Amino acid sequence: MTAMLTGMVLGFSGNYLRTYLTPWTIPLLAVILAARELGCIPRFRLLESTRQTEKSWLQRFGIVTASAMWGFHIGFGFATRITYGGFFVLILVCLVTGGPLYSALLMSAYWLGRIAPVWIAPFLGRMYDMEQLMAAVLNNQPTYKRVVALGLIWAAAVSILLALHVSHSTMGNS
Amino acid sequence: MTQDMLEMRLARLSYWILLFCLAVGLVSLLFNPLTALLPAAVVFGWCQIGGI
Repeated sequence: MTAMLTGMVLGFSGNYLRTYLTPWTIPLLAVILAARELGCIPRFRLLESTRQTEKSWLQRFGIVTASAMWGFHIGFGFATRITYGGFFVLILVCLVTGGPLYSALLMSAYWLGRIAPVWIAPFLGRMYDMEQLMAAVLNNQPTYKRVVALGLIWAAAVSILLALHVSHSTMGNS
Repeated sequence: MTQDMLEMRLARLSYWILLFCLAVGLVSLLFNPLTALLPAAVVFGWCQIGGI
């Protein structure tokens, strides 16, 4: 719900900002962020909140309510830490190309990926020791950087196609 | 299971998710380029697991 809301707000804002932003800004940002993740350029700090979801909600509200609250909190996207740059490319896509509906869908897809570990954690917790699992998650940072970089390269390639499409349409109309 | 093996399995899971999403993205590219960005969004969300 919150992810959809965030997407819709970004999509509506895009209606006003679209005239100032060219579609070519998406591949440009994606390439810069991919270079950051791959270590080709210095790892600059991203605009992010330093907050995390409240672990204390589990004790205060129980697992069902706490899980729903975590989902809502994570859904805002901006409310918690953003370690990798992919999220910012999604924001730019919402602002430049997406209408409210598409932007809501895009943010929901991001939320789905973000919340997936929370859903599969109970199953993994049965197979592996939870502390060992958490250590494995945190030690795998280089993998996530590479995976995000590949995702960003994909996003750059797709957005170049989009930008070319927009350029051709504009030239066709003029 | 050793810590190294567990880390390797988690890394492999991340790469499988990426491959699956890119395959879905590639197919959806045939219909509409905008839909090809949806699987990338899932990948970006998944990788935040390392940012907790």
